[in-house]
Amino acid sequence: MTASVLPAGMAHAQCHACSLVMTIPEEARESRLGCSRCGTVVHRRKPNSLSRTMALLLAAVICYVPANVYPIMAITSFGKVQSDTIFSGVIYLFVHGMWPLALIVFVASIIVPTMKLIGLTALVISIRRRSQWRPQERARLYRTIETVGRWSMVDVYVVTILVALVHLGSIASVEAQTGAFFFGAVVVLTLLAAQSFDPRLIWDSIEDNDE
Amino acid sequence: MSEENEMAEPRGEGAAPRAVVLDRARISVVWLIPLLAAVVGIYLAYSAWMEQGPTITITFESGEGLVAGKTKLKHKKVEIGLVESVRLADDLSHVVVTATLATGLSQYLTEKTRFWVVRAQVSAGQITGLDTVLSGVYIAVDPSDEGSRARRFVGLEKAPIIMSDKPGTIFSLRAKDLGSVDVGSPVYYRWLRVGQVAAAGFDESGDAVVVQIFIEAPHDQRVRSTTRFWNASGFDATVTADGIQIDTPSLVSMLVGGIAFETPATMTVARDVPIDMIFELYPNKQATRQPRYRWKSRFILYFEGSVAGLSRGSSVEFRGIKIGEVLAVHLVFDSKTNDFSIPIVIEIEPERFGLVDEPEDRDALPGLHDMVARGFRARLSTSSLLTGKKVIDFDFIMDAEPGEIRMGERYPVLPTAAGGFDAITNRITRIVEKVDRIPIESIGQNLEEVLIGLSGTLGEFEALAGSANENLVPRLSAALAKLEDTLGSADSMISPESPMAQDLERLLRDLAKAAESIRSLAERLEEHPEELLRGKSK
Amino acid sequence: MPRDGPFEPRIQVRLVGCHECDAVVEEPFVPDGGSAICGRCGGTLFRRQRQTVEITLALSISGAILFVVANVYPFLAFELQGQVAQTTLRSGVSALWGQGQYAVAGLVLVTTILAPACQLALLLFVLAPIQFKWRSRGGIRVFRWLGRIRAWSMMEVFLIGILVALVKLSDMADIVPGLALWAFALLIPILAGALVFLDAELVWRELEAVE
Repeated sequence: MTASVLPAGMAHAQCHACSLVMTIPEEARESRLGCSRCGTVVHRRKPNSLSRTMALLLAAVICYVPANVYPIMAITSFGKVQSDTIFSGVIYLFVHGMWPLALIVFVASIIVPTMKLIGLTALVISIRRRSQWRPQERARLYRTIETVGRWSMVDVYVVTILVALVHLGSIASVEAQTGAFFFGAVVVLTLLAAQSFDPRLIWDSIEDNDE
Repeated sequence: MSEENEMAEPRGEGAAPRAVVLDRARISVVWLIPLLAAVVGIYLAYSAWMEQGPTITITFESGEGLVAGKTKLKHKKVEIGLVESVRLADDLSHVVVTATLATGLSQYLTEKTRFWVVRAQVSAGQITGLDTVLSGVYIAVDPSDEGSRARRFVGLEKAPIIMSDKPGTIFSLRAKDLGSVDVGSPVYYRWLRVGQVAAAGFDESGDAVVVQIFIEAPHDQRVRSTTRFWNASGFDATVTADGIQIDTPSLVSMLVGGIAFETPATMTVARDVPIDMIFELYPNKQATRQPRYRWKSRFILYFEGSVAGLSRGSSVEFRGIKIGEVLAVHLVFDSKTNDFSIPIVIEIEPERFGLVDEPEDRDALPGLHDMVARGFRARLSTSSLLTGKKVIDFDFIMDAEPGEIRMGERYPVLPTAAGGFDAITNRITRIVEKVDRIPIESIGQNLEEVLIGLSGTLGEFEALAGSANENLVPRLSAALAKLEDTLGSADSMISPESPMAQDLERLLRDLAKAAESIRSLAERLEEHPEELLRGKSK
Repeated sequence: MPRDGPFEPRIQVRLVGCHECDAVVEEPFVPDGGSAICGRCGGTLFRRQRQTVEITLALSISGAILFVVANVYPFLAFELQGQVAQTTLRSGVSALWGQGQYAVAGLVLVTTILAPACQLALLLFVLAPIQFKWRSRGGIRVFRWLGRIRAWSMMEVFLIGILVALVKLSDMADIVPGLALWAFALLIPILAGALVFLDAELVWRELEAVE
């Protein structure tokens, strides 16, 4: 049996926490609503989604530059200090023949954040401009961003492990640097940005057109 | 697209009832997973608990280099434990380290077990612990299974010189001072290192240093009762008939000091070392060749007159053989008697007399009282007329004034007698005095008269001889009789028994006495000129 | 109220909404292990798992045990010239904190220890009473946070980060994996499995039935 697809319109709302679909009575449509099952606040759309997403993205972009310019860690060995940015870390791995790792780090720490920033920005712009361009693709893009976003944390974890393991006094020691902070900030901000983006907005302009 | 509905609906024809799909209550196989996890978890917890060795606390003065969770405890360079925490004691006086050890070591944690921190150090001719620069300091353990079990320990600040398990023996040496020898300095036999200095400190009286050395087995067997130990730092240069001989030790012992030993062939038979024997540590090898004695007795001597030429270190001899030396020459003013005295402290080594057994009371020399009674006295003698240096010479003196040993404040006081040179001077003075007493002048005068008389008598005799041939014989006999008389009177004059001589003697004696009192008067007046006016004050 | 029996779509028509495109459909029947996809945007509507409580609970318990092991035991041991450095999961956090990188330390702490721990605790708290028929209150209040917490639990990324770091260090020193590493490696698929087999809707219904 095929299910009928009912556009939500203004009649239904879904709780984001417990997925309960509820009808919204006419008179309550403008007031603050709570889920009848779990009690969380129900919004038809995430409030101020676009502006919040943009703000977070902007912050992320601002942090992105220092994240790549400042070194994320410094390895001190017998008094010699070697600072590495994300990029120089990739080069180092590549030069030392560990190119699979270089690839992983490159993708995770450079491609992914860039993609997130560009992707979310594009999504926001597309919604602002009420684009109807391939909603499914855009939805897939959003899904990808959400799923893959967390992987850019890899470099932070690499630094963490190195810092934890390599404390051998004067032989070798690793210290996390400001780059790590900014990079962590980028990850967190893009994560929050993706969370605050409401993908249903993509379909709103389609629906508006349909109607 | 929604999934197709796949619920099974029995399509039966006929009267077969519809089977209802029941919810089978079954324990899903998925529960194996947590079961497995639980088993593994419990096993791990149990084995970790079983492997947990004993926890101990060690106190150290400083926590330098000790890191909680990282610093290890090692024995023979094998890791046997880990430091869990390093914190200050409540009164901030020391550092308390908590550590856990591997299992099975409980029996080795006794009160005799020692702990110390191994850091890189340069000491006693060795550079130790360099590996700690790279690998971090560690706490070394010297386990012992003797004594009662313990869990709290006081850590040593320096590594113990002797490990409990290293065989060997500790010997005690006594020296005037330590020189460049220090704890950890090597001990050599034929310039092979066989041990090291374990400890150094003062002896009970504080006058000497006692050094304890540890000599490893089997070299400890080489030490006998006649073994000589000497301070081998610096070099020994001896001047012999063949020239200068320089004996250099190893560079190490020159830098950090060292002690060497050998057992020379001696008259005494070498015996096993008695337990409490304290060896003498000679300042150099040369000194070992001189006989040394352990037992020293101290005495005090008082001399009349000047002791110029006598000083600390001056020899004390007996009939020319050194038996000791002067320790100190003091000048003491006794305010009660308003007089000065010069007590001289000497130290004698009675062993040189052949008195081998040391009595309980070191100062109570047996037979000394008898000797003093027999005239054993100390005298000042000049050892060299050129330098005027004096020595104290003991000897048995005939006709010595009776004397005895009296107990002074610290040491016994031995009686003294006037010295040899003084005796000569005195004797000469006596002879001179005696010669003085002979009435030479009057004897001379008398002689003159006698001679005049004699010449007169001879003149008469000549006249007689000129007018000889007549009454020669009666005249001759008469002349001879006169000569006899003259001679007789001369004789009586010269003879000491003659009243004249006796008178003269008495006269001279009186004169001498008078001169004496005049002299003492003059001396007195020199000291107390005011007596001329006031008269004698006493 | 008695537990629901096997789900009968014909009796109750429940509506199900798509979180991504806001489409509302009738809840289709989905067999165990299957999932329903949104017809419009392709997003997942829900997963069906009738034994969700049992399976998820079992996996959560296993996960909890593994989590304890992973945090208590040493994780990695690093040997270089006789120097051995051992780390636990929290060593990285404390090392970063000690270096003054408070923000990064906090981020790592949340994403690798706190979020997974809260997740496990939450699941246990909610599912155990259902399974063992205990009395419990607050399940609903707690369960709604699952989604948020899940977003911040990044253990699998951490594992990849560890591997990258290990390979980087492997030519410098001997790395000895500790027990915690294995526990961690097992914990990740088990936790993932627990979430895969979690049919949130059924749980909500159970929760509703109880309270």
